[in-house]
Amino acid sequence: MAFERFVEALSSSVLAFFFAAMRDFAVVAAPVRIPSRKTAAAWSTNFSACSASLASRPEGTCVAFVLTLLAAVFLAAVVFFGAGFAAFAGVDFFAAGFFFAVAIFGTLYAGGIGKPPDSLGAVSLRRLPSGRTAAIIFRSMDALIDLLKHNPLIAREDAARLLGLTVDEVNARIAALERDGVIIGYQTVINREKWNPDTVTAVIEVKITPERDGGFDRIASRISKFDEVQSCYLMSGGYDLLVLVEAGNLRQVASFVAEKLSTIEAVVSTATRFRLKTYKENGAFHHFDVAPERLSVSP
Amino acid sequence: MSIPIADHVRDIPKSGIRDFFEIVQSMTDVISLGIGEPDFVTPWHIREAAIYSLEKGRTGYSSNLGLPRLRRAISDTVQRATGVRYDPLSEVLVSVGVSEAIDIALRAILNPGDEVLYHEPCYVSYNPSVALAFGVARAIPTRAEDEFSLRPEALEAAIGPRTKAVMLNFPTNPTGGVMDRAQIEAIADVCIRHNLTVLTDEIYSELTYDEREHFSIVAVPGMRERTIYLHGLSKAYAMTGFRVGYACGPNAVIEAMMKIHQYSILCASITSQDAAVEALERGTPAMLRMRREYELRRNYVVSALNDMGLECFMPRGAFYVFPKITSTGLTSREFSMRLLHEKRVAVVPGTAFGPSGEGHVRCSYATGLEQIKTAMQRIAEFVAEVREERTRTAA
Repeated sequence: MAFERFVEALSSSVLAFFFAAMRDFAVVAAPVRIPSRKTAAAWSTNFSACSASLASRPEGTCVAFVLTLLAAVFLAAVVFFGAGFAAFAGVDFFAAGFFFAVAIFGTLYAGGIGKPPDSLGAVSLRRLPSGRTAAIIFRSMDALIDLLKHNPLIAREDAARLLGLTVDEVNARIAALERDGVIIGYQTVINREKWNPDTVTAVIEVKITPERDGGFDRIASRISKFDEVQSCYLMSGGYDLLVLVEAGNLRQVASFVAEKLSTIEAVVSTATRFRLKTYKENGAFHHFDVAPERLSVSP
Repeated sequence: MSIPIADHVRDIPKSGIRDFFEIVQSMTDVISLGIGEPDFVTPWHIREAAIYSLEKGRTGYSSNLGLPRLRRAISDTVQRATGVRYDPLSEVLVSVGVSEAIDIALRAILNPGDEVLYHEPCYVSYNPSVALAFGVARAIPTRAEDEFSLRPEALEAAIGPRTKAVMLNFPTNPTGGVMDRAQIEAIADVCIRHNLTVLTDEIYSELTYDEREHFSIVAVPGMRERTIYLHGLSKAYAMTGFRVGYACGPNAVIEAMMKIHQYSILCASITSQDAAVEALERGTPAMLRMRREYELRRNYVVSALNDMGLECFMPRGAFYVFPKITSTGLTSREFSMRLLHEKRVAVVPGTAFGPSGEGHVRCSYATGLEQIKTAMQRIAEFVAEVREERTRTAA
């Protein structure tokens, strides 16, 4: 009896250790066990998508969290089935689960899952100290997207120097981001007062009745397809869709609203407001302050 | 009759950076990599807090030690960074920049003739501040091959019978050098064995790269009681013009510093103190954005300098690189002067930061990327021309 308790205590503490080890393993090794170029790109996409949606969280936390969860579910399943098998065979519940887990884990590991390949396609791991791989890939992907957001025209050579990568690596990463739809376009911010000042921009608040099948999505995509529509967002609050419309003059906007938008069956009501002046657009200011003076040399 | 100047003031040499500044100032279209302050404007929410403070009519004196709310924010910030807790009411003093804190700390602890050690190349004020406090400043040269960290053997060898204090500054202006935990512990060990006071200037401590956190000497057990922790908001929050620094230390030394501070300064500007509260309480995201920008530029500058054959290690902190220029056959000053006149790029000769800076120049990357790019191109051209000239004269 005492021996069984001992085994039970031992196995559950080892199991706890395994969970912890699995968590670290997940963070460190996850991006390492990428077999092909395609999945490497997929991984990097996941990373950046994660960073975009969870930007407020500390970098890497979300990746670690998801992988830990997967690891935990996997181990739990192994323990569960192992225990069932063990109960059938009359062996101690936890001890059997544990050994079963070790066996499977060991097989997977020996099968090469944990071995870092020499090359990872889009993602280079050279020069990186081991154990911090995930964090660094994550960060430079983030930094690359930041650079492109700020200036899509940045020379690839410059981007490479800034990020400590080679030009080929930068090209591969950008290609992967484009291919996977993380980057869906590059746009120029134009000062409307200096170019086509007569163009009219309106924001339209649209209330719609969601459909039984498509919800808001089908109506929203129908509305989005009109050339006049620059942006279309589903909103919380007093109305449903916010539609940004650009047209040559007031009458065109009016006819778009009256003839196209309002006539869609699901549209309940619209409220149209016109832009008078732009101060800041997509992070860029339309009026520049003179740069403040600095001393030319200071200690 | 002219007004006589005190001997110890007259004996302080003119700052090497000051006369260089005057030359640069007289020229046009110079790209300056000689600027020791962030190129970012203070984040808007911090400026806005200063405006709001003025709007509310907060225009009077504050407590000599500084606004209690700011001292609490400082105490929390220092605890987060180092794990060491200072009592906001009695162990924190708000100064006018770290420079003032260094000055009053030295004046508070030194008797005439007491020796103070500091590692060199270093910030320009250390040596004169010690002299102005009637102390004797002794430099310990650090070397490029150690990435300008202070070796404990060098420190120990420099200690004499009158040595009272050591000044540390990691990450270092002008070298960008940092010390890791083990190195700092070795230095702490020497200080404890020789009963030295430590003044640690942590002004660049937030600006460390490659995901390495700064480790402060005050965090070593046994160091809190012998350390004066000096820090400020200028570099991390791009607030140089606000002039807010602070000192944390045991009550007795803060009390002594306060005596000098209250009679010479009275208190830091209250507008700046209000802005500092905002920075410490809500400024971290903006600070991290700036830090990332510096890190990218650092990668750029180091890679460009090494490509042109100016040997340069990857600095892990501050916003300076300190490349070695001896391969051009020029001295630091010749290099800087000729680069300025021939290519209109200003870098600061290493000798401005002490004689052991010879053979190096300081390039600051607290400047926009476009300017950095042009500057690097011009420096590369200059280096190539100088090399060619040398081979021609040799042949």
